[in-house]
Amino acid sequence: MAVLVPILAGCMGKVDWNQGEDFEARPAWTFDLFYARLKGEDFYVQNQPVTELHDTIPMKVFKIKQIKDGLQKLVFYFDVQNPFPTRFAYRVEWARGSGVLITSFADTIAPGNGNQAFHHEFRHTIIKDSLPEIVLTEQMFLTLRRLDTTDIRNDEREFTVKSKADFYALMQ
Amino acid sequence: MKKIWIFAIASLFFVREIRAQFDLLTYDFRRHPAAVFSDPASGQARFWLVTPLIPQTQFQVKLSGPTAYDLFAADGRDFNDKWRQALENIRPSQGLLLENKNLWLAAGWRKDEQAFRLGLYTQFHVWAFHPVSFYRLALYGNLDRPGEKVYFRELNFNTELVHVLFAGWAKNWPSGWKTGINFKIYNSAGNISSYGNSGTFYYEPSGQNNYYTHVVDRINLQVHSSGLGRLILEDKAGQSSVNEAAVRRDIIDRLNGTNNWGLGVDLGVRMPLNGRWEAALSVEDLGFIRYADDNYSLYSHGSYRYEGINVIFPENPVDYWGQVRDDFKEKVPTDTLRAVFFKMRPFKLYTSLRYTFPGRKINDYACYRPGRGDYDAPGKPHSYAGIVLFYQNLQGKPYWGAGAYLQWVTARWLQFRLTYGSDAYIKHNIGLGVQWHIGPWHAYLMADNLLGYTNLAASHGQYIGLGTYWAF
Repeated sequence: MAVLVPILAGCMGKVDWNQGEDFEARPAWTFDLFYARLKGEDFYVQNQPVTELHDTIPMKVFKIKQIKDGLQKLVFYFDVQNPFPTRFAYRVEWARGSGVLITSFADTIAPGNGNQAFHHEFRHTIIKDSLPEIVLTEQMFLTLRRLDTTDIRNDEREFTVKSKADFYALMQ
Repeated sequence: MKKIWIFAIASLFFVREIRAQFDLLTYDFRRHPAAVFSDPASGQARFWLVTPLIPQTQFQVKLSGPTAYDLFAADGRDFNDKWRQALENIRPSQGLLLENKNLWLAAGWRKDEQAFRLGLYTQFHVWAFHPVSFYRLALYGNLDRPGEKVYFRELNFNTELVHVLFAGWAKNWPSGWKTGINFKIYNSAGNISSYGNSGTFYYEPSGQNNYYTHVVDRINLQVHSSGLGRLILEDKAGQSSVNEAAVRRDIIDRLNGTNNWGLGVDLGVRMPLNGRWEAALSVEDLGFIRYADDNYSLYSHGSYRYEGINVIFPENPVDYWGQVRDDFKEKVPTDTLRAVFFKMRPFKLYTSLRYTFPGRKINDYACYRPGRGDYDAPGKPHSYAGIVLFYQNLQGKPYWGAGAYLQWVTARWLQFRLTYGSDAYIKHNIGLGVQWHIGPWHAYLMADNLLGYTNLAASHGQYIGLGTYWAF
C-alpha cells in the first residue's frame, strides 16, 4: 500500500483540496416561540384589575450547537391583536439561566377601535456581532402592562400574541 | 525469534481483502480462495492454504452520487456553488458501500469428487445512503420552506464487524452437477443500524395559535446497536470525560468475542447445460445473528404538533419546557431497549452462465502432471467466459448488478481475467486481473473500473487486489 498510494495519487485529476476551507453555508431556521390568548377577565384577579402580567418562557434553541456557534442574526417577531379599548405596553427580556438580563424589547400596543382590533407585528433584529452574549439566552421574561383602567372584565374577545424567531447562521 | 513474532503480528494487518458486494473479479475465479463464498460449488485446488503470513491486500469502495471531483476539481468555480449543485443532484438512493473481509486463516483440500474447506475471516461492512432532506435542513435551514418535509425513511445505514468461522463441502455428482455449501457461525463484535424508518417532519405555514404548526407526522424510527452501550454510557466514548483505557479494553474484549452468535450458509449449485455451457446459482450469507451482548436500541413512534409555548401568565411559575417535553414524550415515546434482537444477514444472490472454451494447443502442456490438475477440469485448465446477475438485500434497499467475465488461461501458470460490469454505482466497469504461480506459490494482481484511473477523484469506485496464497 505504501507503494500504491503515491502511484494512485498520480491518477487524480486536477483537484484542489484546499478549497474545502472556503466552505460556507448560510442556513436560516425559523421556529415558533410562544403564543397567548387572553380574554378581558384574564386582566383581573378576584375582580380587582391587574396592571401587569408576567411570565417566564424557556428558550432552549441555543442548546442546538449549530445555532449557538453559527448565529449571525436573529429576527424576533411579536405579533399582537388587541380588540380591547385599552392600551398596553409589552416588554420581552432575554436573559441567562441565572436571570441576568442580556437584552430587551419594549413597545406600546394601541387600543382596538370598536369592532376592529389593533393588529401589528413588531420586529426586532439582533446582530450577534453587536451582542455576542445573545447565544447565552436560556429564558425570556414577558411583561404585559395595561396603560389605562378601562373596564374590560366582561369583554369576551381575545387579545392574541404570536411570536417566532428566525435564526440566520453561518457554517464554515 | 522476536522479529518473527513482530512480523507475524504485523502481517495480520496486511492479510486483508476489502471488496464491495458485487465483485466480478473474484466470482468464479479459478482457484481463488475468495471465490468459495460467492460460488460454493466452484472447484478448488487439491490443497490450498491462506495463512496470516501471506500478504494479501485488496481494497474496494463504491460511492454513488457526487464524487470528490464534483467538489474539489481545480476548475476555477466557486466551491460553494459546487456543493450546492452537488446537493441538488444527490438522491436518497445514493450512498456509500464497503465490504471488507480479512481472511485470517483458511485451508481447503479435495479428495476424489469432493472438496472440503474451513477457515476464519472477519468481515466489516458498511452501507449508508444519503439522508438528503436532513442535509438540506442542516445546510439551507427551513426558513421560507414551509411544507418541505424531512423524511425519516432516508435514515438507512448499517455498520457491522463480524467474525465468521466457516466449514464447507463441495461435490461433483456423476450427473455432472456440482453442489457446494459453507456452514457459517457468526460472532458479531459490534453493530449499529437503522432502516425501515418512516414518518416526516415539517411545518405548516399557518398555525391555529401561532405563526406555524411544526408537525412530527407518524414517525417510526428505530436504531439498533450492539456493543455501543457500554462504550458510550459507561466509558463516555466521544465525550470530554472519556475513559480512554476503558474504551481500549472494551473494544479489545469485543474483538475477542461476544455473545452475539449467529448461523448461516452459503449455497451453490452448478448444472451442466448443452455442450460446454454451465449454469450456476448461489446465495451467500443466508443466515441471521442473535444480538444479546450490550444491546442498546431506540424506538420512537408517534405524531406531534407544536405551535410554541402557550403562555398563561400564571401567579406561580410554570415549567413550560417540562410540559412540552412530557407532552412530546407521551405522544412520541422513545423506548430504550436492551433486549435481544435478531437480524438477517444481508444475503447475496448470484446466478451465472458459463461457457468453457475448447482446449487449444496453448493449453496442452507437456509438463502437466496428471493428478495435479484442476478440480473441475482434471485434464487441463481451459479458458472460460460467463455472465452474472447479482442481487443483494440491503435491508429494504435492493442492490442489483450485472456483468460478464472472461477467464483466459494462457499457460498453466498464467491466467488473465477481463470483466465488464454495471451496477447502481458504476455504469461501465471494466476490470482486469492476472494470476500466476511458481510451484505452489500463487500470486495475483487485480483492478477494476480501469476507466476510473484516468481520474480517481471522479471515480465512483475502485478495486485493487494484490495477494498471494498457497495451492498445490
